[in-house]
Amino acid sequence: MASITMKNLTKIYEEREVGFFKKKKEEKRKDVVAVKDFSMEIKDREFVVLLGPSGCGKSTTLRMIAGLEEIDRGELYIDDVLVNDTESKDRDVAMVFQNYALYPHMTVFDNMAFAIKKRLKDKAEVTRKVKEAAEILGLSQYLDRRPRELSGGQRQRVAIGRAIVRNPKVMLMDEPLSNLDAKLRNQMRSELLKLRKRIDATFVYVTHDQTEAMTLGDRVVVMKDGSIMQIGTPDEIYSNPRNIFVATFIGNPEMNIFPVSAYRKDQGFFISLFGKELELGKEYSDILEKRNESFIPLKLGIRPEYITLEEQGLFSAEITIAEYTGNSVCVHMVEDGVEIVALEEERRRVEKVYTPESKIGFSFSLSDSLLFYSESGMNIQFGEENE
Amino acid sequence: MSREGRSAKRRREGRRVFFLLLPIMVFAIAFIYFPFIRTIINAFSRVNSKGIIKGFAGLENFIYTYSRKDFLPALKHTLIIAIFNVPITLVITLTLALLSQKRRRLSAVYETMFTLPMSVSMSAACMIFKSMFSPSVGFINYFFSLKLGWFESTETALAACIILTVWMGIGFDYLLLLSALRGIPKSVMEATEVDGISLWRKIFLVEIPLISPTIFYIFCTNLVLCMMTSAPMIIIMGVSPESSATNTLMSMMYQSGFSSSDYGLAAVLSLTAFILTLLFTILSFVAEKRRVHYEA
Repeated sequence: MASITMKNLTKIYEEREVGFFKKKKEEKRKDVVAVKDFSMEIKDREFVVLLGPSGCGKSTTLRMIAGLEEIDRGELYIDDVLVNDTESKDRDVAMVFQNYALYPHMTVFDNMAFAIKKRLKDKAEVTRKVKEAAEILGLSQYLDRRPRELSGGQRQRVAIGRAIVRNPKVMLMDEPLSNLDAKLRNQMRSELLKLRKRIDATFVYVTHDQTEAMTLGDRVVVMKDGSIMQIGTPDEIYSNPRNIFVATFIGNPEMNIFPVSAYRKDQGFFISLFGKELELGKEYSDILEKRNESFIPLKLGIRPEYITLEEQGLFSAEITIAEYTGNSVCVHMVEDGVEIVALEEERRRVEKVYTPESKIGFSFSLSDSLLFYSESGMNIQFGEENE
Repeated sequence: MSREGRSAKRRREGRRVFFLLLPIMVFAIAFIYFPFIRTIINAFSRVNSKGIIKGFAGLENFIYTYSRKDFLPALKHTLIIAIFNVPITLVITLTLALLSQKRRRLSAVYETMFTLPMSVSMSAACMIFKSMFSPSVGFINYFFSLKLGWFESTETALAACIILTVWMGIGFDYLLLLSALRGIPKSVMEATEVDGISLWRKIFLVEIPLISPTIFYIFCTNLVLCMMTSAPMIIIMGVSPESSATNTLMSMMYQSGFSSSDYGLAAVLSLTAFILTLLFTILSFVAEKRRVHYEA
């Protein structure tokens, strides 16, 4: 029912000096590109998460879809209708804001009914819709309260309720859980998952929290500096990141990145790492073969959970710190000045004691690791264009 | 810490607080509490023309004041000014603030224009308005093709006075409302945008309730100021028996206290104005409970 198509959406902020004492002429105008050539198609009823560090343009993109931000270049279609110049109210979108944006002087009921009161002439219909939404969100007993009498989680539910009573085609959520404490956030996240199935809308959800992105999204869009780094399912993004940025941004603890060089030897490609020579598998050497070079600077990425700590490991390193978290332990090691992080998740291994400054052996399989071009940071399986 | 040590510390703390409060206390006692109490005493005493109390008078001064034939007109004029000035000022300043709340390229220009009356002193404004309303050379009569002697009849003189006091109040009130409007969280207004709330509902059901504490503040302070109106009467009309046609409680008080040295009358008039103002303020606070919304 509601697909969203974005073609080269671009937003440029013009920084204007305000005030009487203008700075030097050349400093006067600085254009900041907040979103650059954002293109993607969101299918009807899909849940798409825009993920990235702060300032990456994810909120701006969402606000452009909402109609709160003018589109400087590019085209935005909702249901194949060009809506670049359509006012926000005529786009049939609803938005949930980070700070809830509730009307503080209205009761929960009025907050939820405010937008539909004018549209639906039938008062009973309004009441029915609000009550239904309140039921879904567990707000029924709070309908007479004002927002200030509610907890953060309840306020956020009211904000979501206000959006769902409108029954919009597109539901936009701008970091809706980031003002909540960790426990409540987990709880609301699973509630959102349940809610999603009951609502007939296309979701665009902005967050900087990768757990939210991975658990909620059908597809995740990883953004950086206003550009799309990768679009994919949570699994694609995690197991096959397009570049080093995505690889290190997703996953906690961060993926290990080791500088290595690939060189040709005996019909194959080898890399040397911590003084050991490793032969690259066919899937890699076939790609490197095409470059027709004998020496290629690369970066090897391996996720901490793929590193096994064992006495007879292939490599050895010195433990710097070990962080116990109950069900896992994160061991930081150093070798040749390179930091290595390993995550041990099995209970029996956790019970082992990792003493700082002691030597430990570790190993990992090359098939679990990823290779990136040193210069562009691109995953070699994705080709070689720049980020 | 021992008990003695603690109490010594508390004494030191107390002394420090006392000395910090001393300057403002001296000021408040000398200029607010002493005159206030002296006024109450004067109202119940026989005071001679030198301001010296000559004995207890009971309600004599009150009976004398309230039975004077110029008292009721003065009270009426004061109330008329308050009744017209307060809502007119609010409507004008609110309209201006709503019109100019969005920051635009020329914001600074019209913000300055609207706040300019603030920088004009009351006496200067009175002189400007006196010449503007002048029947012969006045700009107002010329512009509206009128032939009114503005200060000759009570009604037109009061109208001129209301226009003047409204104009004087615009700058400051506009500034307060503008900053209140701009202080509304941006996301709340964006929510109304996305939800397709119409302009009127946005203004009357969202913006005005959200700035109601500021509106209430302006309402109360303007009410007090109106009850105290005297400068336009004194400066424009002068102090003379004939000028009583436009007298307010305070200009009558000024006249009795400063030109005819009737301190008993002056004290009763001040007290009357004070009690009325207090009453109105209490009434507005009662109304406030229901109408004004405060963010927790």
